[in-house]
Amino acid sequence: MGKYSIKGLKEGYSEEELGQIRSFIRRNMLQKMDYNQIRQEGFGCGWSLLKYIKWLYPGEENKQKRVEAMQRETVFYNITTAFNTLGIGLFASMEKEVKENPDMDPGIINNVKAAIIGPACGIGDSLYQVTWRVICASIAIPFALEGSILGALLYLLIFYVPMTYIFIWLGYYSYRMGSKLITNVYQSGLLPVFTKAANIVGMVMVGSLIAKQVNVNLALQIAASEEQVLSVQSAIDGIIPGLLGLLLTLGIFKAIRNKISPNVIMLAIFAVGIVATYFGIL
Amino acid sequence: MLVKALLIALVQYFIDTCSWTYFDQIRRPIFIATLAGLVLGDVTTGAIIGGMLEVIYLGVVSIGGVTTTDLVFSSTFAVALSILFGYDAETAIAVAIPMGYICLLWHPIRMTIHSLFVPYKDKLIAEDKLTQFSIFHVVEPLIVHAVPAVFLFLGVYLGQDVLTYLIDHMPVLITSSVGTIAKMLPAVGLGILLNYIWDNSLAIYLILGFALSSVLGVSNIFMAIVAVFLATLDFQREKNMIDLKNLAAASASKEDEEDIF
Repeated sequence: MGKYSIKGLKEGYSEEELGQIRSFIRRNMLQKMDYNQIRQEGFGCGWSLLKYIKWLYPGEENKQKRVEAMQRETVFYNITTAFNTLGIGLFASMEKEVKENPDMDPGIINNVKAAIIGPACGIGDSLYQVTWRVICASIAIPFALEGSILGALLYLLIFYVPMTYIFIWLGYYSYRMGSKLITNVYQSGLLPVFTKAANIVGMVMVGSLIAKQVNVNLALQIAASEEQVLSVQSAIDGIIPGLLGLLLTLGIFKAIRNKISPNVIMLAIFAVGIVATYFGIL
Repeated sequence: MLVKALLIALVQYFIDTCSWTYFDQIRRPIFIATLAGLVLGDVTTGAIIGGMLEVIYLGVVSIGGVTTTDLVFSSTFAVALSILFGYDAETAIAVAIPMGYICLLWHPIRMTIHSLFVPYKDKLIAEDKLTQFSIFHVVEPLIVHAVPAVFLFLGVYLGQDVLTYLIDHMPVLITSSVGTIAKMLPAVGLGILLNYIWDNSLAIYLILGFALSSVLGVSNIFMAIVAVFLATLDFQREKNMIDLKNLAAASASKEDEEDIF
């Protein structure tokens, strides 16, 4: 463990460089401050590395290189918040490589960036926003429902204490590994395996959330005879409870896959909800 | 009322700002409503509303800047209605949930405002005016993110009569359909997420999670344990396959060498 603890990862760097690492990890907490459609978190990435780049290329004589580095680091970029520092540490160490090794092509940095966006967002969002948050919220909700402040506090602590440790650790780890991280991950062939494992967790949790959170209740009733009224909902519940919610979610997923905007889908749900309530179907 | 309206607006501003930092997951009703209750002097009501809203919104996720409701506004608004205007928790939530959807309109506007400044920031960087860029990058969002808080303040402080009138005279169709809509909307967030993680061979895991939850009513925590267990099994199996392949490749190349000699 020793080698890969935060203390172990800090070894061998000068006090000055450690200060720079701390600075970009801290600044990285504001990465998505100006989240926008054009660059997403691009400027946040550049902003996080600003002090580091100034440290690499100080003074008037390095102005050209400094500007180029800043332009490299503000291109289109996006990552899950929990994995922010994985990217930033990697880019910082690659910027350092670019400075120390004139043979290295700076364009590689942007290739790495583009390569990171997909897997990091896919793994991160399902683990961070679904699995981990749902676990923390499930522990905290009973306390809140009793009117206790403990609910909010527990949620905050359980969620953020381990998360923050990982956030800081990933910064040091990816800075030390540098571009080796990417080659190691791709050469070992473990990335798709890990992605698949993370997606399994995501799928089970999403399936469970569909059952618990998505409710479509039909109010529709069919008169079977003069005295008997058959409720369609209880007939469906008799087969599989929550089946309609599952079908609705899968339908929406198909629609999104076919490039229909989520906003359009939401408007459609509003329209259907109001109309169906008016006619007594839902 | 002025002070209380300011306080609740401050909570709104604080959470809206934090939503766009590392602390984005404090943008959850359980935290927002409890904090709002604490600030307004009734933490019990805040926590109860937070717990109720959290259950309703558990499936709401925000991915790639797309979210299906404005959690912050509906949480602060529900607490304000309950503590300041005296509505009971259920009514406050029933009114606040549609407000959350109306406030969704703000999200694309906010991102568009940020986008407008992209050329300006590019120019600052190209001219090496990094200090200016640095300040602008932080100050611009801090100003833009204050907009919902201003609306909340005006609504609570000036709009009390209008709000109570509207709530008391809300058409039955809206109050009755909101519940139905609110229960269907989590499907959008989960659908977006499925789009990221879907793989036809993994569909059985979705069905398993669904069935365990709907038929057996398994708790979320138990479900997470099952999920991690299955993922670990799969990871180990696939890793063994890779190791075997590497081993086979290594021994094959060894044979090649022997052939040479």
